[in-house]
Amino acid sequence: MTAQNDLEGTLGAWLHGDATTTPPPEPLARAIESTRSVRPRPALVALIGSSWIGAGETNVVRGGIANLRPGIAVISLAAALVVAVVLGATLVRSPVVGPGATSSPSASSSTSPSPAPTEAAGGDFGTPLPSYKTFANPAYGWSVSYNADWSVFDDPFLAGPHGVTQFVPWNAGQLFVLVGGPGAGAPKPCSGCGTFRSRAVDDLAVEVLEFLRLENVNPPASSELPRTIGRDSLDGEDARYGYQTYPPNGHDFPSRDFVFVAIHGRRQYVIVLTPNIADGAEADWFPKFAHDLRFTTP
Amino acid sequence: MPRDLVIRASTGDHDAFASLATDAYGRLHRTAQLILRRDDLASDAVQEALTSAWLHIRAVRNPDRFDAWLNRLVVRACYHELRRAKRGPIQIQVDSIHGPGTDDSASALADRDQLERGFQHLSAEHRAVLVVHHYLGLPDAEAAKVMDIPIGTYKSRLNRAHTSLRAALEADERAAGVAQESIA
Repeated sequence: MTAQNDLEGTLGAWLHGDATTTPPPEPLARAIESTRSVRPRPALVALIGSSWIGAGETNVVRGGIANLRPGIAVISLAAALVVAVVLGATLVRSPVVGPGATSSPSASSSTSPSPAPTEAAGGDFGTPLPSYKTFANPAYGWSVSYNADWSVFDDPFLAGPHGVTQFVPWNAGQLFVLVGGPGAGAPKPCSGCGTFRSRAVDDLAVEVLEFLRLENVNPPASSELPRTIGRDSLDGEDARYGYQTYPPNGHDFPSRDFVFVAIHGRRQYVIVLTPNIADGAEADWFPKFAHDLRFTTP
Repeated sequence: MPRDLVIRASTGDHDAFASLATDAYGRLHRTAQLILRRDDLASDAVQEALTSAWLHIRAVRNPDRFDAWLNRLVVRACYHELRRAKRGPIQIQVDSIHGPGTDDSASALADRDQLERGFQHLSAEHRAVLVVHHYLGLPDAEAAKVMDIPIGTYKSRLNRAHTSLRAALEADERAAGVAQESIA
């Protein structure tokens, strides 16, 4: 064939010819929609995992940092530490209260000027947390303390009510409290989803983690994910604390999803954290947040 | 690719990012489709690449290199899709080839069919290196970065890909010759 004589030219023409079909619009729409509510990672964190092609011959991760002269690197680090310490001290003295809570009429929140039992959780976000609020949901029968600079969206799905409250910690991903209604007993984990079916707390932990796995854009195989489930308690009720670790997929960070589950009064209580950055701090503050949950009478 | 859009996107402006994604989408999807040869995997790869691009958008240092960065993300997403696909049942979907020229002679169609078959026989890495070189048209140094391999590896892989494709085409010609003889 003629391509044997001019393989490269023919191949180039063929590739461009082959590529003239119009791509389906759905993947673009899905990508735009799925990223709309996700916050980009902070610059430094994004830089490490981004496969970035920099301006020079070397990329940032392998070349840029490595090529820094040791002296400059040390001075830069020391300067950054000093700035961080000064900023931290300043902010601790002058508490910053964030956007506060947005809640439905069925829920209420109150601000506590003094640190709640979750005080240690504050610093884990890298920001001082001067005050706490209590979110109470009398309709579903629970309350919890949370950092005052978080946002709260009760029943965030459009086709509610689902028994879901979303907390948005500063730069720490998505935190949901899902509680079954007094009648149904099981929350809907997302719009269009069914409900969790498990009636035993052990099974519920597995079911929730499996749900989180499948919620990924490209779900890894279940067998790929190291999954840990341990015994715990929420407000004196038998509970399970679990997490599963997602391996890096070539250009992404390893990350973890965390859950607490309990069954109280035949109703499911599920607390889920899906971080959008992997800094490891979640493992400390998330249990503290969950342990502040209190069961109330709906 | 307007620089100001990249700069705005890198500060968290999602609308700017959506514009950039829309502009690049056709090229990214075509790249993925050529490497993966399956529309469903290509769609997944592009979606993964764009999602990753948004998550890491604050890492943008040089707005002029944004397109190169997207190319790299989509090539890596293709490899990821291939690894995932290997774990599940493979559904081979051989797409028909419809080039831009509509006045195809029979021989031109035969050439394209032969190229299609030869291309299918290549490994994904060889398809990727040919796509980056011939479709994206990147210079060697930049192509090596997109592939995330040293430039020497890139050049040798490109050479091997050409050799493999040539061998596949020759094998195809031999098979066609045998078939004609048996018919005769």
